[in-house]
Amino acid sequence: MRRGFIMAVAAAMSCLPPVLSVAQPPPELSEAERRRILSHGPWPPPSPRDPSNRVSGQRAAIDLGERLFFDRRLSGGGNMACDWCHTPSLDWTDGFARGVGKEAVDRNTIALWNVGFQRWFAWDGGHDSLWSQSVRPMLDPREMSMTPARVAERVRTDGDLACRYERVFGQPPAFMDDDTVLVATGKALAAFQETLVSGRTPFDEFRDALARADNGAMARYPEAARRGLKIFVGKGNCSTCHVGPLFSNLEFADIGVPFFRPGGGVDPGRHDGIRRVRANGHNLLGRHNDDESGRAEVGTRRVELLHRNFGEFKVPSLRNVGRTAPYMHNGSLATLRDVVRHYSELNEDRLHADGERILKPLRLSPGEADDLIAFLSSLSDAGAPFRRRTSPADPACR
Amino acid sequence: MRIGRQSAEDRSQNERTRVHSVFWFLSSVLWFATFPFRRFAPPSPYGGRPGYAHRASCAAVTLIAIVAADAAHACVPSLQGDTVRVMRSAAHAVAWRSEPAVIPLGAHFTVELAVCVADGRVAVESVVVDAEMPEHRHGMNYRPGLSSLGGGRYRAEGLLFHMPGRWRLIVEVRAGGSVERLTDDLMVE
Repeated sequence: MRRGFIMAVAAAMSCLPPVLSVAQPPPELSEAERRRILSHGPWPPPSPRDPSNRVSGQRAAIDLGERLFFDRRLSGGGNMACDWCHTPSLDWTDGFARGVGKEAVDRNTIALWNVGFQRWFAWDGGHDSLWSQSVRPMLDPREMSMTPARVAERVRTDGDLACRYERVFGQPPAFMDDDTVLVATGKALAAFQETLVSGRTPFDEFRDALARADNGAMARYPEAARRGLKIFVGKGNCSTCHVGPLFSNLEFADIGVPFFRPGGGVDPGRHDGIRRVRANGHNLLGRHNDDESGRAEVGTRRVELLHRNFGEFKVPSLRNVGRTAPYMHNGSLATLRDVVRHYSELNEDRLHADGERILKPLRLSPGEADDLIAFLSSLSDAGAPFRRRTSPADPACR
Repeated sequence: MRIGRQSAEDRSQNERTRVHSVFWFLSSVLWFATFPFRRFAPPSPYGGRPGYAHRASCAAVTLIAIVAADAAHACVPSLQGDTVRVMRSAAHAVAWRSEPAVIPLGAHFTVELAVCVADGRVAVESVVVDAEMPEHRHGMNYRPGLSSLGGGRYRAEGLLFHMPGRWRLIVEVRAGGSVERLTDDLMVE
């Protein structure tokens, strides 16, 4: 009797795993889904190099840029550096809905992860190079509130900085005009920021396992994330804009987020960005572009101002998205769940009549929303905290 | 990211298939249209089922007409090779290839074009290159710049396909005060 009972229990337990696996089978991938998933890698790509910045990738320039990034003397009040808003321990953003420099600004602070791979910079793409973008906050009266003359003066009067500028740029800042010193500062800052490349993620492990048909490694990817990935590349159409290894097409879109400014008026987004980049003396059509091939400036020369650009904002990269809340250009969505809800219940009345026609409310079930969030969360790395490579205590330049 | 390219052999086969389809369709129409005349026509002196000879003659006449019409329109653009695609209309043919040959998603590329004009048609005054995503109902974010290389050759720079899916390359040829629009659809992944 007792032996029979034990055998019955054992038989029941032996049946349990198949029963559970039948309840939640891993979704099969079509060939189209497989190709789309593989297109999101491999990661990391080769280090970014900017041909418009002749010191891009140079060790001395990266070190100089790191020093400048944390140098509070580059702000009008002497109390604020780039890390004020782009804080390393906060994934190079600030955690606020809208950035706060000397005053509050209108837009969310974009995390600097992988910024060197971008084509346009800021939510409206108002800058066409990382070095040009790096100059802007220094001069913005609401942010660091400096002038080109004061930046140049700070650099020229600091013996150590002046020495490092000469080492990187080939001439001492005393022989450069104010504008050239300002741009050189931007180029050193850009060289440093190009090194901020995010690490490998659980998704990358799954993607590479899929590429080599390693079922064992693929099985380690959580099933919820896998179902969410299927939504991402399938019915969600997310990977139409969030394409490639960076999960961004590096362009702009109107996704129905209201663009009213807190103090009144509207934020024109990309429409204003194109006008600003064209008017900017530090754009790639100007004398500070170091690319002699002419290829780097093609985008600036050929970008077209369209009516639909009004209210368009940058398609952000999704790498480390789980750690860079809040979301959208105005930080209006606090969590990933809010973002998924936004797309699930998309208000089509807010979209441009002449805009993208593929945006439709996804109408996700609660389970599907959870799966999509699980996938998005799998795009974050587990990299070690940032450690500065330079220190004020380093030996002087000479 | 690849576009769905056809080999030159495939394109040639498709062209032949298209011509054959048109030929048989038109000859069948002629055959049916002339049925009342055949119904009361004398039997064929060559034997066989009544109507076959007539059908064959209809087909021959149609084929000659198509070939003659094609010959009038035919012109050969001065751009050839495995990666070249051709768009045709009654008045023009546009051969094109991209650089790089496989169009990258989200990166600028250039297009080299060769435009030729059919015999008896007006010379080309200008050419415009553009692209759109028909399903999405939007175009590119960039306006390509076009430079003439001479001899009906052009180079368009600054194109960028920023989404995967079906893109339609558009070449507008202006000649004699009218504009002709030639298109070629591509899948970009």
